[in-house]
Amino acid sequence: MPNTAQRTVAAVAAPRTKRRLLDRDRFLGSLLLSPAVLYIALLVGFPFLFAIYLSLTDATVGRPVGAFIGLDNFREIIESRGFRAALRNTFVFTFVSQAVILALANSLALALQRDFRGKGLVLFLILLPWVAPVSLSTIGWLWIFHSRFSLIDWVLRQLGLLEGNLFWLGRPDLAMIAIIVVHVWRMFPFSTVILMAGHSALPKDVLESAQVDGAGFWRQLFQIRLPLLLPIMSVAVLFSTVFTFADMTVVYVLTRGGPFDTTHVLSSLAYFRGIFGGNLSIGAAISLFLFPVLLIAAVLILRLARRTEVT
Amino acid sequence: MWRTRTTRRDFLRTVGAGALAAGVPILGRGPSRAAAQGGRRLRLRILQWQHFVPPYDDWFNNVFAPRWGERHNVEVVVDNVGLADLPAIAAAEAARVAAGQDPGHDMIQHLSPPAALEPQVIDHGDLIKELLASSHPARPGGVGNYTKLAHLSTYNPVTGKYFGFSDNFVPDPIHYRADLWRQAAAQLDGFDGVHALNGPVTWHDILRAGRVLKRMGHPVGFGLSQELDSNMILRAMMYSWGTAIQDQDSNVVLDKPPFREKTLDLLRFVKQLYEEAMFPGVFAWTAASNNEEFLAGRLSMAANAISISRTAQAAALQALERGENPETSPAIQFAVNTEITSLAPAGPEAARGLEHVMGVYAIWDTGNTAVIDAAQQLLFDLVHSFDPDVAEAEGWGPGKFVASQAYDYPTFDNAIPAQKRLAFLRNDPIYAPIAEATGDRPNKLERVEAAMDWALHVGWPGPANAAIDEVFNTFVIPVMFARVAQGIDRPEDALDEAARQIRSIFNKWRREGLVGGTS
Repeated sequence: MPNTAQRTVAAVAAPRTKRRLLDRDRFLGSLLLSPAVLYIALLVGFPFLFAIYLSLTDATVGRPVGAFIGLDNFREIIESRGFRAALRNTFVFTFVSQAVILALANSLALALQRDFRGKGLVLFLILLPWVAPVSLSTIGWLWIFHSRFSLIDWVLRQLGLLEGNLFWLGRPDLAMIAIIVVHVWRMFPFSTVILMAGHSALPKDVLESAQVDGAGFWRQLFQIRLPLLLPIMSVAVLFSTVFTFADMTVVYVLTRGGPFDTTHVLSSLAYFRGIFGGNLSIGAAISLFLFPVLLIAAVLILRLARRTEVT
Repeated sequence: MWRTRTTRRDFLRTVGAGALAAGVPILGRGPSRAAAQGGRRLRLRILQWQHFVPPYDDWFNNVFAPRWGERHNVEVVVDNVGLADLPAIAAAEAARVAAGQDPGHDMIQHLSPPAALEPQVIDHGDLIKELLASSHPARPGGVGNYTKLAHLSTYNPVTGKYFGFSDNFVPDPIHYRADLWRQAAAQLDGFDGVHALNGPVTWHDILRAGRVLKRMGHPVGFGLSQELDSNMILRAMMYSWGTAIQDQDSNVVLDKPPFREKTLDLLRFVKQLYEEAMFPGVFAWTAASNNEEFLAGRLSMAANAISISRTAQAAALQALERGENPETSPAIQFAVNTEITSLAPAGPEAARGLEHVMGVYAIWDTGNTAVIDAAQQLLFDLVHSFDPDVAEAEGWGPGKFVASQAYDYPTFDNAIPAQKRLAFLRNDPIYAPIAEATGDRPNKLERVEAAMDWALHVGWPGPANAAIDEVFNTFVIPVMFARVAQGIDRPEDALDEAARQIRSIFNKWRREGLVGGTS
């Protein structure tokens, strides 16, 4: 039977062992990372593996456990005109909106480097589209592009530039423009904030030297600022690209893929076929086409993030 | 299965005893099994849409459900969501049922037959049988037949199962502006077939008058978009042209002779109708757009449930309350000039129309027999509540038909007898003050009664099956018509592409064992 002293030693030993474990970098590192790993495994990894499973079966919403049918779903969607259009739209939607976002965000970030009266209010207004619930703001846009009561049409009519209506969401080209406009409006605050941080972090001595050497605004912008901003700009673009590529909210609320299936992107098409149509396996197969692009983008993001590490 | 443990009759028997003890005049039922099980209160969770006629939700949520729940010792929880949100929620709940988990609701009211969910719902056949055999002293003659429209919308002949229970359908008449129609008719010489006073009779009438109406600045409006109304009216036109997606045995016939030629003929007609009598906005419409444009005074014609008329009447009633002169008030005159046709417009083969919405409840097969029994009991009583006399006797307020302002029509054809429906419509309490103030006839919406004869279902002449449901929800038909109307596809190419998609969808559901046919 242990005496009192022994009991005291044993009682003290346990916290010490714990403390020693927490002092070990490998253990502590794993411990701190484990919530993130668990989160990814449960909320990303499992759904992803489940989507792969679904895409290889004939599962439906009424019978989520389907029979294995190999690559039949992929064969079927590749033959579908709607899928090919959605694939093309996804790239057009993503790259055009990113180009516009980049141009707008850079201009704005540059303008906001200077102090002026009401800067706080401007910043608040810029951030508003980012913080407003997307479905709510898109419904507002729905009225701006309404086939009869469009605000844009009204302004154009008042200026004498238009008779009648443009029917923004009833014509494929205008509908895609409308989707891109809304998405740009929604996403550029995010890029602006990142680029503002980038501009603020530029080494002042380099900019001052350029000024002393007589470099004008454009020369400073294209030969000094933008090259120095490139790593952080790439991160902003890639994050935004991944987000845009997988997004369906604007398409869903604004056009629901119309007119006549011309504005579907892969994620909206997957949702309509998989959930509304009840064809879960086809929906999963369509959504998996996003994976290769998102994977490449993710690898690039990680590499760029490493490059921009402060050493 | 719920029948193996305790039957619904047990539920009714227990419930009936208590009700009699309480002196409540009911349909042979009383306190719930929950009460019999030591006072443990059952909870029945229902998901349904936000009704287009808001007073209906007031009645269901605040009168019928709580009173019914009190009677049966059941806590009824009703969640109302927008109609567009129902399919996604139903899909998620079906997955939970399949996984043996609590779905979140015990039954869902769908607005189109949820055939794809069949494996996860109970067979509603017994409930239908019991209703067919039931009666009430306040309504002699029982609830009548389960209409063919409802049967074909909820019964799967391949599995022999009723995957849903339809308590109501909503007629989809043509609304038109009588004042504009008369003006257009006056401008057309030899306007044979068009009844200037009674509105359009054929689709050819609509095309001819539509040209004039468009020139007058009031085009006709039939959707060519990815939404409910477009889906419905284009199918109504197909049926009137004698073509359909499937035959009675669920074989795809859209592109097969003689249906192919009929479909092509209709594709050309719709293109002509769009170019000569409509406008590009129809490609961008949502389910609310034709209501909005008609009520804004832009459209001369639209196909929709009587919600268009009811909204116009509500605006007129407000104008009356404001003391506006009935003869000059735009809102009141608008309501007076808003009419519906008595029949669906005729195509080359027949005058066929569709239901606008098919109200179909489906109860999840969770194995919880007490809750399933309670859900069936509520549906049983909901059908009986159609009749205002039954509703009054049972303490359920005005009843389903009156609460919905004649928007919900019964699928058991005597749930509210025809004479009671007509009595309501002939002296429509909603329109009566406007009729009195303007000298107009009070039976403005009486023509909707004819829908009991002409309304067909999605999937006609075959059953509403899972393949038809997927074709409907992925808008294959509106896309086919829209591409031709816009001149993007030749009719032949659009038809071939649509038929290819449809056949692929049918083949998939045949492999699932839920759809019949072979081709």
